[in-house]
Amino acid sequence: MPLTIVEARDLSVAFDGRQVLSGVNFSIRQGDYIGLVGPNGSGKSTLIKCMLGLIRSSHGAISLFGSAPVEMKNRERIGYLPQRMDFFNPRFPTTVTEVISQGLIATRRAGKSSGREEIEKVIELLDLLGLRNRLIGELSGGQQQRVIIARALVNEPDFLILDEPTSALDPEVRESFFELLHELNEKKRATIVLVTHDIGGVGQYATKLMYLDKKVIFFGGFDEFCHSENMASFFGSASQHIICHKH
Amino acid sequence: MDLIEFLSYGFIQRALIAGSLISVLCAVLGVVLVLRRLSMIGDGLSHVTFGGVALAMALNFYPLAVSLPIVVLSSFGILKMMEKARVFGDAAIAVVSSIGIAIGILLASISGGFNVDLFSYLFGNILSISTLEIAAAVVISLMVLAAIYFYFDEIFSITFDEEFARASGIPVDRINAVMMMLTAVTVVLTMKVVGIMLTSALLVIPAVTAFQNARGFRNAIIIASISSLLSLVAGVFISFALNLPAGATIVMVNVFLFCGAFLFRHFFGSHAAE
Repeated sequence: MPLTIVEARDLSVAFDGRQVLSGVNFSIRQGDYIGLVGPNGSGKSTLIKCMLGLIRSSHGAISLFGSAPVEMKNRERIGYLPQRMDFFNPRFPTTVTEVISQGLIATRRAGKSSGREEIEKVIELLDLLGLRNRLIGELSGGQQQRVIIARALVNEPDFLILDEPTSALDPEVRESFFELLHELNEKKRATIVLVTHDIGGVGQYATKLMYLDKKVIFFGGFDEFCHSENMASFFGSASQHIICHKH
Repeated sequence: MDLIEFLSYGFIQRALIAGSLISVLCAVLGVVLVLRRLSMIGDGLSHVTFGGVALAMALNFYPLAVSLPIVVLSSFGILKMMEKARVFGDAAIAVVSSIGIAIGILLASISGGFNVDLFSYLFGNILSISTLEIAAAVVISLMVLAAIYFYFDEIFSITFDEEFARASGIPVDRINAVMMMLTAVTVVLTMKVVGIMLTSALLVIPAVTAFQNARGFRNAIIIASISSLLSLVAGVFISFALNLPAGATIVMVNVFLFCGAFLFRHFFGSHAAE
């Protein structure tokens, strides 16, 4: 049985009495590549923040690598790409290399690496060689997103959480990014949770689907989803077809 | 008067030693505070310092000893208001600042009005810095600078993207609390250099000067420190030579350097072509 990376049991989250997640149960195992989909306000970002220990649950429990997320020590095993690109001030005086090196903080805090080699590798991988000394505010939206992706990948994490990673990428870069994720998942057995609105394309790259709408509506393989009569009646067979046709 | 004679005065030596350390300290913290949109924290905490000094004078205690704990507690008050009371940083600073200045005015009024001593804290007098104050400035400045040096990566990460810093396992709340405490201590030290009225200038102007041409976060901290140090030394020289108030002169040299940095960026910087 593969290692359990995340386990949620009856997880609920409420903000000011408003229920955002309710009775969520699932297990993510090593090597899973999960497409996390759901409508706006369905709790996708809240769920991944719970996984990381950024938000506390109001009921139930969630574990990350066997510990409560806030207590998990080996943070260098995690790569995280936040949802919004505009979280930083575009006038912030910081270079591409400085931003990427932040991805190695957990590794450095564990005394494992100074990170120069890893930074060089990821800069080359994401085609950022000519941009390394540029200020982040001088880059286009797509270039900035590549830098933030590089920050999430630089420590070669075992578990990657990516919240809408490709919204600003052009189709070519987007393709090579998904190829890279596929390679990480296949060759290095990296576990991936990919939050996306691309419900029609999710089957192209992920191996499992989690459909969330405050609770888990479906979690399993695409074959199971595509042949499920329950899901056909829940989504309508046309929507089911849209999700399944590229798988 | 030549340079050797100028530097031979004990009060000038004390002013340059303590002032240099405090100015570098202000520059380093200022870069972080401005980027976190907490530029006005120096202003707010210096108003609390005014309340602390007025209280010390009313009770006949040493002003630094009374102000320091009050300002540190107030800085935590600002942090807690931001975290727990759903108050934006600038509003939290305004609330604490108003309380400080109101208490100061009340105490000054009760204890016989604004005397010469209180004015000296309002406008500062680096040339009258005592041996005890210089010792406190050296010890505290070195401690603060060492803390920033050892936690540089963590401070940078929190400043750029707090959520990512938390996800990386950085104890963000603890570091934020320490940064607030360091800012409070720095504000109290700075009141002797430029006075309560001009404290925030020493925190903010070197930072915004650096941002005009800095090519990275580390680079911004270095430029801000050099600019602040240069302003301090030049300000002390000019004020002594022309018999001007030292605090205001230091601030005006800072403003002059900011204008120079702005013009440099405008004509020669990477944005010149925009």
